[in-house]
Amino acid sequence: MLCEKCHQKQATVHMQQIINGQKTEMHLCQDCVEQTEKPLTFDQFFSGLLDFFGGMPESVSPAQNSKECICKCPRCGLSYEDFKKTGRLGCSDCYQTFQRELESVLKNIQGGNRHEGKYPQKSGVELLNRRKLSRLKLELAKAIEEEQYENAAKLRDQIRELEGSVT
Amino acid sequence: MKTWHSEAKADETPIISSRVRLARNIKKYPFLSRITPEQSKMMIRETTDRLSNHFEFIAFDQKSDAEKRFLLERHIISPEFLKITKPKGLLMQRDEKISIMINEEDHIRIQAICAGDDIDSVWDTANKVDDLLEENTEYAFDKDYGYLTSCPTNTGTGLRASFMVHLPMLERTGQFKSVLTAVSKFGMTIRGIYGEGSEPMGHIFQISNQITMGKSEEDIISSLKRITSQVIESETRFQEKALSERRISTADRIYRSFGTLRYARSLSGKEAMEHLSSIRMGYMMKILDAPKPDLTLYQIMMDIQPGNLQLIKGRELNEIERDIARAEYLRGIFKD
Repeated sequence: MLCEKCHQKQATVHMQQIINGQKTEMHLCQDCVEQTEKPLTFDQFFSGLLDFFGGMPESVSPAQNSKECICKCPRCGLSYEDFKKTGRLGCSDCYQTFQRELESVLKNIQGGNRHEGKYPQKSGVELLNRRKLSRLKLELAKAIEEEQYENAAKLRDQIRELEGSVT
Repeated sequence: MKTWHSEAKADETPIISSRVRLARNIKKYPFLSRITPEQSKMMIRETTDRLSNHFEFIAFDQKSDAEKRFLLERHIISPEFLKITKPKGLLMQRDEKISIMINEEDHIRIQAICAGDDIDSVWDTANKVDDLLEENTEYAFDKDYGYLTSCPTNTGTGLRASFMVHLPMLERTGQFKSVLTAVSKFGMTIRGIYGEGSEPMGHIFQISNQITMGKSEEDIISSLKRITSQVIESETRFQEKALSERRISTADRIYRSFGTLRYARSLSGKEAMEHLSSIRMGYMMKILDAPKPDLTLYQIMMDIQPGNLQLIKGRELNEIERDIARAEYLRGIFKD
């Protein structure tokens, strides 16, 4: 039997479909069947990856590792299982609830798992201070190395002051 | 007010447009998957109230299917936005250079776009709109993870920067696969004309960053610029080669396309895009000796898409009617 679609190759796949009691049969060749496959969507592909990445964070012990988080986000009720199915989180608190799993997911799908970019003026004050702190510490090390002790003392005071505001 | 796609810059080089989008969420509301319709409406109202002096509000949910398609084809909204069944809102400027989708995959998607190669200026624009919104809103933000988004592929900067590029020669000469592989090695991706999952048409693609965390916005944009310029250089090299080694056959194809658009009576979207692509290349390579239409080639490419075509005609059209209307519209543009 020849393929019903291309009428050229031998039909090797025989399909039956029953919709509302109506039966239809199709006889196709392998190539034509493959072409009728729907393209894989990003979501299907991505949730497959979550199984792989989220399931085994590197930093936890084997005992912890054997089980994924079974808890639900206290704010929105999303479970990690739900997240794996859709690839979408339910609210901003999910990032805390599933932190252990997400650390690993982010590390694998992103360039790194720490934010290096812009921050909101209001809620980003602490981040700004932390960045400033690490910059000052570098400057302090440099000042000591170059024996600029007066400058180093000034930097040390600035660091102490900032450290008080950074948790 | 001139739209970005009517500016001559959209036709001058393989780079049709530069675009930046920022994904943001409001802390007090659950993300899209968990937000209720009532919360959605409240969130839309609050966001639009804040920006009502700067943008026009579009009651998106009340638009007809053709009007929604029109907005998609003009890159004002994303394909994803069309699929979402919860209440949605849209803010835009008349020149189509800035739009804000409300209740897309994230609560807020700010988009800025311009003709040609100027991604720094669109980043600047999107950044300012973001600052404006933040003045009265508390965003979902974490000091370690940055801007928190529905999908972890956007977490961090929430930035997707992209160039829309026309690469006819790379595709025709079979170079495209190697370009695709090379680009993906640098954390970038190439998609079809309407982004995620869209069919390539008229040899038009979007090159964009894949990674949103661990790098600053400026670093992401500068990598994208470097990689895109490499792709454009290859395209230009193949165009020059075609001119020097196969001038007649290259010109022949371009003029045949011109003839088809001037005289055809029925044209599918795909076929018309193929010919418009040839003509765009013909003008760019200065091989097509015919007066340039008043509209830019990219504007014509958008006008012949189903949604735009139906709005131009002022009524719904089936596929056969659309093909006839498309050919008629193109004959009008390319007539003697």
